[in-house]
Amino acid sequence: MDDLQVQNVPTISRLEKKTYRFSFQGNGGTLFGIQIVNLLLIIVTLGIYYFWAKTRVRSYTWSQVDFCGDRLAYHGMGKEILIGWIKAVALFGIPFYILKNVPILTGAPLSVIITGSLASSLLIMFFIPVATVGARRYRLSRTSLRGIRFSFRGKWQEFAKIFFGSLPWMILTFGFYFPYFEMRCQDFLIEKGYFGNQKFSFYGEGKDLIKSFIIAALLAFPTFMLSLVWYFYTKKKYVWNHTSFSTASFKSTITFGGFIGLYLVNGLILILTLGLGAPWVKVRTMRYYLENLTLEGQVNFSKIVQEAQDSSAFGEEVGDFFALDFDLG
Amino acid sequence: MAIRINWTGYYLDGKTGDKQPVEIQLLDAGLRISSQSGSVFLWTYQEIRQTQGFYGNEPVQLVRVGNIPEVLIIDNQEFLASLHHFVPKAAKRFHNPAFRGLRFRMILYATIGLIAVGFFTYVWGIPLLAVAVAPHVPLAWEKGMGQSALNILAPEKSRCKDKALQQAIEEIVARLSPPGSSYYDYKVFVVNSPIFNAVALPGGNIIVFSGLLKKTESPEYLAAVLAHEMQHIRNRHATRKIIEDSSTGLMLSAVSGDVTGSMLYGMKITRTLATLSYSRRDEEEADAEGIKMMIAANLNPETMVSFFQIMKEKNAGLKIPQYISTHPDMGQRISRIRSLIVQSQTDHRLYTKLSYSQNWDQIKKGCLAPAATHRTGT
Repeated sequence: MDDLQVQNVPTISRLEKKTYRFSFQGNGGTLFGIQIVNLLLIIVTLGIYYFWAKTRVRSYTWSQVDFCGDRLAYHGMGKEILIGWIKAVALFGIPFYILKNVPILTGAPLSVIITGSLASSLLIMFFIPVATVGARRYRLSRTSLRGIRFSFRGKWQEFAKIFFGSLPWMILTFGFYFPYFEMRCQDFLIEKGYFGNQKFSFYGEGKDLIKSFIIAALLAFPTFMLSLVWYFYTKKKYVWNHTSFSTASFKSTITFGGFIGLYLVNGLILILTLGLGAPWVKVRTMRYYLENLTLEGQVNFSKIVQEAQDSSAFGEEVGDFFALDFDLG
Repeated sequence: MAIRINWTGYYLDGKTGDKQPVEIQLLDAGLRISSQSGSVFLWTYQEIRQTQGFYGNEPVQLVRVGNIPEVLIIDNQEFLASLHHFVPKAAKRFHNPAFRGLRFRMILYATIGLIAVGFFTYVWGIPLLAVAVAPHVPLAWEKGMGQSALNILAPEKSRCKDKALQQAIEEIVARLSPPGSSYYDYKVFVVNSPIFNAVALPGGNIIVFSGLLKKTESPEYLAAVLAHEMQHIRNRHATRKIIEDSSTGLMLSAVSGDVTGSMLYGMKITRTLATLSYSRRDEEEADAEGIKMMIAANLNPETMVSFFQIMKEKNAGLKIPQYISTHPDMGQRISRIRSLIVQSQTDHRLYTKLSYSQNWDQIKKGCLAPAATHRTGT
């Protein structure tokens, strides 16, 4: 048994500032076992098991996230993502394939191939906001802690407004609007997140990151892109440190050295094991981020009230279909 | 093992996040849960779903399914073992830690099974699939793919447009495959390039590089090459190869979960064709059928042997050019073709020659001259 400290569980009435800790209890060996069995089942079922496999992996990883002795729980089901996937294929995948491949299969002139290719890329751009919001809605609504569900209450139309509203600025500023864009996205993605009836808040702003972004962009070439890694690190830490829940604030204590070390070793593991070490890489990464994360303040669990929200897995699979990574936080 | 009846855990009513310490008692009908405040509930086993505690270091989480799901958390996993001993039948719906040793073995078998399945699929499954699917690919698709590849491998301006040569080639094609006799409409494109190669594209297009054309001593030599390439098309070897390649890609991306990989397959079609190398079986089939085709066209199949012989002698001890390297061993190949000719019992047959108003060397020159300048230019 692990050393879960039950007495750390916050009690109801005291109001002094507390430090709530996160940890990751999973191990690479177990995750490897899950993934190997999954892989086999995916092959024997000609890929259909993929959706259940994904759910099993997620269920395991979620359950290993420990918040003061309480584990997160994942309630998603393979069937839900399969239905989401079918919808995504019908509404989006098929038009995409047609635009992209029919010109090639029919030997159309190069101009038609390029036009089809561009149209399919536009289609992806349009679906990024749909998928981002859908995936977040689905994932959060299937996650619980202490029996209380999380939820995401943003709409894709709102996100599309931010997404496409930022495009002209991106062009006008030659991309230097990027940190503002990212923070506007984070603001939407975090502010619309709820745990029970209580919301998360984000108070970060693009102007705080613009200096780091310019420095990183200018030094990208001479530092062999290392400055971009540094920016990525800075941003990640900034986002956590400007997020709060109820009256408590998140605090990330990751360091640039630790961050670089994590990814260097991860890269080495992947190369030396020919990719088989991926489960250990995942566990290492989760452990590093969670063990360097605290929530400081006061969370009154008796005041957090269940408020269920409906959500389908459509966006989840649209995103997955195009292998876009939406874990922006 | 001794069965423990009484346990401690936490109860969450599903309405708030407030965790209440409770005592749990195993009963035949279900779990008796009593809180410190004095309230007592009975959860029947049928209404309980386990959501956590499947792996060694997880607490056991039980959910009572209902409008508002209530949760019970028990930190000690031995609870599950006791439950299985106490009510073996009702406990079937819960994870049994006793079977965990089995899990390790299952993983081991799964790994071995996985490698075996992957190997068999790759070696036999995919080629079988390709053989089954290729005959059903619509001609329009084949032509489309062939056209896309033709535009890349033989751009318009690199094609040789010498009229006399074009005419001579058309005659060879018509002789081998009389108009209306074939499903495919064969078209030959000569490309100015020193490459010693000929490529059969799906749908009927054949590219002959002038490097190969230069080495043909008579039109029958070219006929032998074309008969061979036409058989690749007729037997849909290229189409099969594309299916094999894209299935492998799809399989890999399905396994790795990277679906973007499979989206690139459209682009891969052209790449497959550009680096096309047929399997030995396909080559042998094209040789055998090519011989039959030549005999049917009343062209001497021995030219195929002579052509390969020239190539063999010319390349003895040299770096093997592309055309041959992807093909079966030349010595074996020649003897195979010889025996095939013997089997066709055509000993006393008189073959007609292909004849044109100009001699073959002059016709060939129509395309070789620009190739020479092209070569010095690059």
